[in-house]
Amino acid sequence: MTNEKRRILIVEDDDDLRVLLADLLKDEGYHVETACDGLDAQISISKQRPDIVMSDIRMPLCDGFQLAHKLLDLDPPLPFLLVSGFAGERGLEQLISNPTMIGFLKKPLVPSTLINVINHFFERLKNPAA
Amino acid sequence: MNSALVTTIYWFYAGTIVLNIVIAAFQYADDRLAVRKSVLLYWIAVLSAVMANTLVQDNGLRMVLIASAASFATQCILARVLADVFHHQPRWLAYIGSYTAGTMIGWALELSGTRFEVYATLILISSIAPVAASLLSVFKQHKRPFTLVQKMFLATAALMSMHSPDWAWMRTDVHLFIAGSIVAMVLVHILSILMPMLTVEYALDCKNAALEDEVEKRVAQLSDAREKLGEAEKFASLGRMAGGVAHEINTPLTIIGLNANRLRQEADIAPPSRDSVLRSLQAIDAAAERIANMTHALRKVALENVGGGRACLDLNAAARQALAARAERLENAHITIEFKANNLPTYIEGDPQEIQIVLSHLMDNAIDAVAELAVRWIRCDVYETISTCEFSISDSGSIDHEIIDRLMEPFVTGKPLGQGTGLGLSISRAIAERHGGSLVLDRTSSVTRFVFTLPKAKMRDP
Repeated sequence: MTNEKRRILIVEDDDDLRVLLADLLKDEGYHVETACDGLDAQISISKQRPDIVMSDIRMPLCDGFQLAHKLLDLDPPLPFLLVSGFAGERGLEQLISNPTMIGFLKKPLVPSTLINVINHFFERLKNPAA
Repeated sequence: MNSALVTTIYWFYAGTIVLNIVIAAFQYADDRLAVRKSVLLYWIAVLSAVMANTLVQDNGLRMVLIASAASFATQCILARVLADVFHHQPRWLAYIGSYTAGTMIGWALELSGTRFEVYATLILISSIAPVAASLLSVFKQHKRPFTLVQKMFLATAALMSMHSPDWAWMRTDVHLFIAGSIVAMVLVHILSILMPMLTVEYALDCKNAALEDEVEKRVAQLSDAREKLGEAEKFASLGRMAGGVAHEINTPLTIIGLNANRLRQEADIAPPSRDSVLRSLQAIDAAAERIANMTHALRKVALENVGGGRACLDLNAAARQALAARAERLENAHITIEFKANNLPTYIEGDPQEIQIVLSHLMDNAIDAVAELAVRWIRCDVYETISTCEFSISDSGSIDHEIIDRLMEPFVTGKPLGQGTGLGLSISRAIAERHGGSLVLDRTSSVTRFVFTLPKAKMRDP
């Protein structure tokens, strides 16, 4: 049955926001793991690989772009969604045409947009022809 | 025997000159310097003069004219060489004029029956005018000291010039003539050694001058580039700050939006519980406060460019004052405070409010850094150097080495989230720089140590 839990890893350094995002996606029925920065995320991924990673860009120690490149290097590449508080981030050009990046959202996040993007991704996963 | 000796001497003489012509020709072909052309022409002229002297044997006016003409031409070219090397302006008209005048007078004297030696000497003297005048001119006008080669060259040239007029007297006596020829030959030999050395020195000088020019140009280019880089860095840092601001405001905004969204979703189903409402409202409050802090800090950054008043300020007293204002806080947190400064005033010129901002910020930072530590101390120091006054503050805390390089940038803070906007140090540094001073982290110190430097006040006017 295709009702297995769909796993999302949320990577966000702001504690309050991280909790809120986790709650939001849990309410949608996803299984949510969280990490507070890129390094933490990599540890979590190595323990259990999620279906999709949602990551902030500006984080200490290992920012969203570095994480994205690490995800691209995985075999198979791990799909991800980047969220930015500041448009015009450099480093975006390299990723923008890569299909592994399923979206790039700007803060302030509109909850419905985020949910739509994630739902759409999982729909396509189920029906690749769609 | 005598004529054989004379002939031999002449052949040596001529041979040397031919050698010099060959050498000069090669050098000129090599680097095409104007002075080398003059040298080449000089030796050719000397050879022609020697030939002319051997052709004419009688002791009459005609011979004197030929000899003196050859001498004049040679001397003119030598003057040209001097002009090239020593940068002096030959006065050709004067030279020609004096030679012509001398010749006319000599001719008149010959017609009036004066002795050969007398009118010959006169004409010959007038023929050496070019070099004599040039030598004088060079000595008077030359600004730089002469090199050894140059001195020897000038001396030899002078001797040759002086030797020329005595020829009239020596020519009548074959022994004197031979002696005179040997002297001339020796001088020519010396000159032939010195000429190439002189021109090589000259060529080197030219190259050096060109190099110096090049260096000057490059230095100018470099400082231009450095300026542009400074501008670019300023813009880049402004861009980074703008990015930081956007991010810092967007995150709380997202939190507000998500909380509102959650409440609305709950309300769609049923009236939300009191707890739920309070929780969301608290989160929204906190987020709004974060944004307010950000705009407040931004306003300060904007206002920092509006200068307040400048006054003569005692840094020592200001530091003590700032410490005194925090005495209670220090005591409550059990922080050991040490203030090392004498009681003499140290005057700087600055905006009292802005200086206070910096001092307060540095002290608050130090207090925050050590408040939770096991070992808590803060040391402040005020001292003078020759041109500056410095306030230094050390504490027992440590700064994460990852952010240490960027500590003074806006929005970088070692503090936990919500406790620091990360703008304080960058504002303080901006204030310091606007006063012509600096605010730096002392990297050579084993403990955390900030040094706030300001230029001393010019006038002491409490």
